[in-house]
Amino acid sequence: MIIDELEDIFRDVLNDDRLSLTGDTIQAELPGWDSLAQVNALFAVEERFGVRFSTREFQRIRTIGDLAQSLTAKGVTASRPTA
Amino acid sequence: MSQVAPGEATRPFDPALTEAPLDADLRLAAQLEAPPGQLCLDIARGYLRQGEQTTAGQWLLRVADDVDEFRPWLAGAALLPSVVGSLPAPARSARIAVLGTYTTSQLVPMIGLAVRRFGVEVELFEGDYAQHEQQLLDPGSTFYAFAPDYVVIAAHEGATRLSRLEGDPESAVAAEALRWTSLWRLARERAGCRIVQHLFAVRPEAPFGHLGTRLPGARDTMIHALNARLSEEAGDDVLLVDCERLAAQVGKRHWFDDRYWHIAKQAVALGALPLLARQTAAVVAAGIGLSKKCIVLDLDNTLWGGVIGEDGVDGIAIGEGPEGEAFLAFQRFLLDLKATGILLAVCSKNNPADARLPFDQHPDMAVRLDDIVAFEAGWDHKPDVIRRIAADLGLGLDSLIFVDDSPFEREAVRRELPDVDVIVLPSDPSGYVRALSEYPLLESVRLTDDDRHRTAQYQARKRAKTEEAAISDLPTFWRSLDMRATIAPIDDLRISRVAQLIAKTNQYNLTTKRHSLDTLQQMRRSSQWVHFYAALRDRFADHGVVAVVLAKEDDSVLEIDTLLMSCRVIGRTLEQALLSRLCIEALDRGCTQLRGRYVPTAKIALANELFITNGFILVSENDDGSTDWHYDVAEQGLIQNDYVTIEAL
Repeated sequence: MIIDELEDIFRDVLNDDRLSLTGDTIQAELPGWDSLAQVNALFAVEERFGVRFSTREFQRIRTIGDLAQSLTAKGVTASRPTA
Repeated sequence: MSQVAPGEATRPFDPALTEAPLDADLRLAAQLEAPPGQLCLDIARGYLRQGEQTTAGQWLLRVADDVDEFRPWLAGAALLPSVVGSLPAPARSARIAVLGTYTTSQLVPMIGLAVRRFGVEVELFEGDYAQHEQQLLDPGSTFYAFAPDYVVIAAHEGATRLSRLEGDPESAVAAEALRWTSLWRLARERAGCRIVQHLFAVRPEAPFGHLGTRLPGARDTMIHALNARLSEEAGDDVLLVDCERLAAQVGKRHWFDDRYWHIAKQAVALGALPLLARQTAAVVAAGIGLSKKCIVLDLDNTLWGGVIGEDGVDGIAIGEGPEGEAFLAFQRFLLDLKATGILLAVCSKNNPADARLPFDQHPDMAVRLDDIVAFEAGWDHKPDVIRRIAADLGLGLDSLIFVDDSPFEREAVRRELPDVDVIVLPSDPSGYVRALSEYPLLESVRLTDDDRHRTAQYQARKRAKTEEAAISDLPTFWRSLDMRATIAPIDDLRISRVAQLIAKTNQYNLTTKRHSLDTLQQMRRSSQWVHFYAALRDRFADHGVVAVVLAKEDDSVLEIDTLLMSCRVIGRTLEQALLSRLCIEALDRGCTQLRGRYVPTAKIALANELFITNGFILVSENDDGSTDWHYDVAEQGLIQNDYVTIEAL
């Protein structure tokens, strides 16, 4: 599931091994998810899935649901094994 | 990796997953010589969950060995402070302040991780965004309170005040250089620290296109000039990081990503930060004196292709052929490193006598025995031999790196000598140079041998003059090449190269006869046959064996059976040297004439010129298109060889 992958990424980016995400997780409510973490997280997602977010998406994505939706729109379907 | 089994904290344990996530990661890592950073990070987290801080810390440091991914570096750097205390304390420590012209929040902790990986305990200070000038100018700043040993000036080209097109570029560059050197002076005088300056990477979008290089006042041209100026002015206490080269290495499209600048004032793309952090750390480590001092080399399939004990001197690949060229390139790279003061040692499993044979006998070896400070060949266990080499040279094991094509030997050294860094060579020797060049701890702060440096300068100046003269006309050009040839009967060492030339040469080949190796051997045994090869070198390169001549004695006539030259030496008059030698051979045997045939092929008819320009007379034109030619040595005299000096073997 994409959401599991995103959870792994956010655990790394926010340095919180116990972090748990759902589609409803909102940026404002997740401790540490500030503007810098946003850049870090979105780049880590780009690196993982081989996608690219636009400058606008960097600003508009505010929930994990937004992020998952954006990935789906870019053709990312489900978890792919890493190299 | 983590997706092999997601974290147990949020999901119930699945008995179908019989293996714990850490065990699965460890099993995967055991199969890889250089586990990727993310895997090392996941393993570190796994050990942390079990409360094994020390092992976790060791795995965490290994994240820094792989600069390909951003995420493990970001996470690893953030995790480091909580585990570093449980690792054995390093002997060295450094206080490093980073003053950036852009957002350095990601870079600074990464530098910390990389420096710690190189065995230095580190305290970090991060200046506020783009406050580098203020913090250096204000004696009461937090920067000075931190009392750094090193200040990293993380600068990007956007922070220079050079305009797009400058009317007086010289003054503009001088003024800009002064801005930065003044900052160095402040840091030096007030903090007494050493400076690590990031030089400027030039952006890939050139508004003036290719014309820009001709415009001294174009911004990009001035940035290059600024880098050169700063490099000149950097004293012993200023260490430079060549970001222009690093950007080119990862590709400028990857180094510059303007989204990050527009969103977060981040001038270096996040994906390039691990490389920048590691290279910055390597320069600091060199400053502290932690660069490696000696490369311990295997021989078979490391310095040459093949096994000397089985293949013999004429069977190994060095110099000739694609693989031979790759090994030669690697040897030359080693000599370049040696020129910066790095020692070369040999640790080979071989009979001692065999191991030295290529050095003594093979003409194409670039590394010679006197380039090697310690030569150990035998059948002892390599980690024991490496300990002996270190002791003999009076070096610590942590000053050595080990280069060997065998994964088995590499694993033995990694396991038994953890202080010795091991270079993982790819299976293709064409990748050896890059594998070694990407190892970060071969940095030297400066070249100490000033005299040699000076000699090199004089040589370069002299060469520049010759270069200038060489472009006037062909004879001057040929003379300027300083061509030297060895012409000698085909011997065992070179026969396979000769056979290769006979099989492959199309362009400059009089008869294109494809003699087999057996036929060649018969010719060598027959007193009727004259046979020789030519090896050519010049001021720029050693071309190796590039020409072959076979001729048969028939009463008073020496009949040219084969005359060919490799296409890389066409147009240099080497053919005159070959014909000149043939004339001498003819006279020695009491022959008065040379006879030759030219058989045109579909390929370009360069060889036909040979007879015409050297005074041969056309005897007959045959039905098959071939032509026969004749040269009377007794009457016409020796064919002159004007431009190639003949050297004894």
